[in-house]
Amino acid sequence: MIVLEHASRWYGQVIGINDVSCRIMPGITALLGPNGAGKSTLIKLITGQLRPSTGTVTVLGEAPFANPRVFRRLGYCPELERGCDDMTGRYFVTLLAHMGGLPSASIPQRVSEVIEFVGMTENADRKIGGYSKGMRQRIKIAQGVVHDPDVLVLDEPLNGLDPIGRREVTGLLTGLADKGKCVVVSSHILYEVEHLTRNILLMNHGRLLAQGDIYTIRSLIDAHPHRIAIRSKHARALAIHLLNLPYVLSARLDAPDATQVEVETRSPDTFYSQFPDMVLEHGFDITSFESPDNNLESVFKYLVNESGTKATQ
Amino acid sequence: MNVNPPMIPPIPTPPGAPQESVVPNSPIADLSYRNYDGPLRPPIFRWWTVCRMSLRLLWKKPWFWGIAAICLFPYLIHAIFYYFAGSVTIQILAIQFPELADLPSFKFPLQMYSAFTGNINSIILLTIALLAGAGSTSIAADNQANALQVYLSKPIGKGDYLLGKWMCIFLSVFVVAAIPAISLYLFFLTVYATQGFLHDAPWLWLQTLAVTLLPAAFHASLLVGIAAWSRSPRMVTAIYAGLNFITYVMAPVLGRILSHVYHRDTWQNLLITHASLQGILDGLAQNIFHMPDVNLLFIRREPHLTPMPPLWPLVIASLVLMGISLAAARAKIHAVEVVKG
Repeated sequence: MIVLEHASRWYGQVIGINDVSCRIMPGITALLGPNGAGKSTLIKLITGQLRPSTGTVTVLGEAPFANPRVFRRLGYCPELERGCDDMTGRYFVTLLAHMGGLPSASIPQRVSEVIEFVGMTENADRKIGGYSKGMRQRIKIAQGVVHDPDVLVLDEPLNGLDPIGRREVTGLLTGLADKGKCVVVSSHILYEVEHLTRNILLMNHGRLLAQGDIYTIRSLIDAHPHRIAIRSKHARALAIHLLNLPYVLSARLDAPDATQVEVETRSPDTFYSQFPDMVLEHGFDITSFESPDNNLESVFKYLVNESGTKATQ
Repeated sequence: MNVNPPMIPPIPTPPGAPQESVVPNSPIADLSYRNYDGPLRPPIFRWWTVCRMSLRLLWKKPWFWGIAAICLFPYLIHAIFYYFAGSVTIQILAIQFPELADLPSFKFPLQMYSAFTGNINSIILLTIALLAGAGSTSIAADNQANALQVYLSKPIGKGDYLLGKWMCIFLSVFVVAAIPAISLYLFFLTVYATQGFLHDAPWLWLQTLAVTLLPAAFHASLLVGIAAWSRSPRMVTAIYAGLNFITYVMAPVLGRILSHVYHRDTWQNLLITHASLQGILDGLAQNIFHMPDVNLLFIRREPHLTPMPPLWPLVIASLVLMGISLAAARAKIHAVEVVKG
């Protein structure tokens, strides 16, 4: 649905994004990166608000820049903190339905449908100025989907939401993805994105560091051994046994009371398959077992640090 | 006693309609996302959506109409004045300003011109323009809220957006200028139709229309240009009001000084006198009504008529100003602010 081929965008001497190539398919894709990574530039290229300096960007087979044909099939929810405060939520969505090209006769019903979808029916006739942040996010999603786009791009949709609001918005986006939409979400709240999707685009310094399934990416990071934390009453004995395994690089007793051992391995799959047998064989009492590396934040940290190191070199 | 609720009969299915659309299969409402499979209009006339949105927000405010109502006063005063003392006034004017008597059928256009170029009228039209062009519905307000990112992500071009905003200011000022002017014209028409009104002023309707369109187009173009370059509606208000005020004060003073220095009213002096935003509008109105500068209500102690300024330099000046402003606005309007590094 969205294809970038060697796309770069400069602002004078400043690089926005640099030689980015990727494909974004239907489903939810999270665009991750620290501030200044190039997320916003990438979103603006996809939504046709900027033209790439070099390379190509195509959305639904066409270049999106100032292209009404693409805009008809694209929904965009920018990070809009203030504005349109004098309008009611319903009027705001109605206005953008008109702009989206819906016939006047079908607009009231369609607006009611999308307002109901985002759970704003009760508050739709209040002015946006009086909305909470969560309500604003939801009404923005409503305007983004009112013309039933195939691609929906959201800039920081979870930003500033309380846990309930985040769960509701996450549910809305998942619902859209289930209907076959291509949903691109930019975010820096790694924990929440992890609950939203496994499919990520990771950016730093304008470069695309990684793309694809979060666990696949994690397993490909060979430079950083996989860490596994195990809690047991027999942590010392467990550590000795673990150090004898050929695929274990190190075993470190972490807690002062020596109830936790942290293992580093380059073959996590082998470790996970053989560890239960070892535990049963020696009768270790395991109270918890977790991998701090098996989350988005650690992948993000590894890749960003590695990119920074390479840039320094 | 157990009372069974009455059975709700099923809604009859119209011929040709799908069965499942009428009676839901589940008692629990389906709140999931529904696709829209209706038609979409081609991306034309989208500017009207932008214009209608801005107008609706502006015209819904009661104080807009309150301020606009003040614009009725000059016309009302002239209508009353003319109704009760019209012929006497004309005789006095003819004595004081014999040049006026030479003008063909001056009395009705004089009333209209005098009402239109009155100070109250100019201030109100400027205020209305500022409300529409530098208020919460302006481009500057949209810039401030980054709302252009939303609007321009829909299939509307920046030309549509610009035209919509321009039309909002234009229509707001035009309505406020035209309603009292047309009312005065209709008053003349109904009261003096049998006394040769149409014979005396056959083109007054066209002159009235032209002169009310002028400030609407002029203010709209200039305000759109300034607002597009700003992210603060208040700043736009300050700049445009300041520009109007300073030029309105400075230009006549400069013109008067030159006229005293050279002891005559040359066309260059006249142009300098009108070298202000309001002066251009007044000069064009003078030419449209073919009236020298005279105020019916405040007759000068020393009878002196300022001749009309030349038309074409004023037309060119206004067109250049409007053209530059619109070009500046078009160059600036983008969904995103591109900062050059």
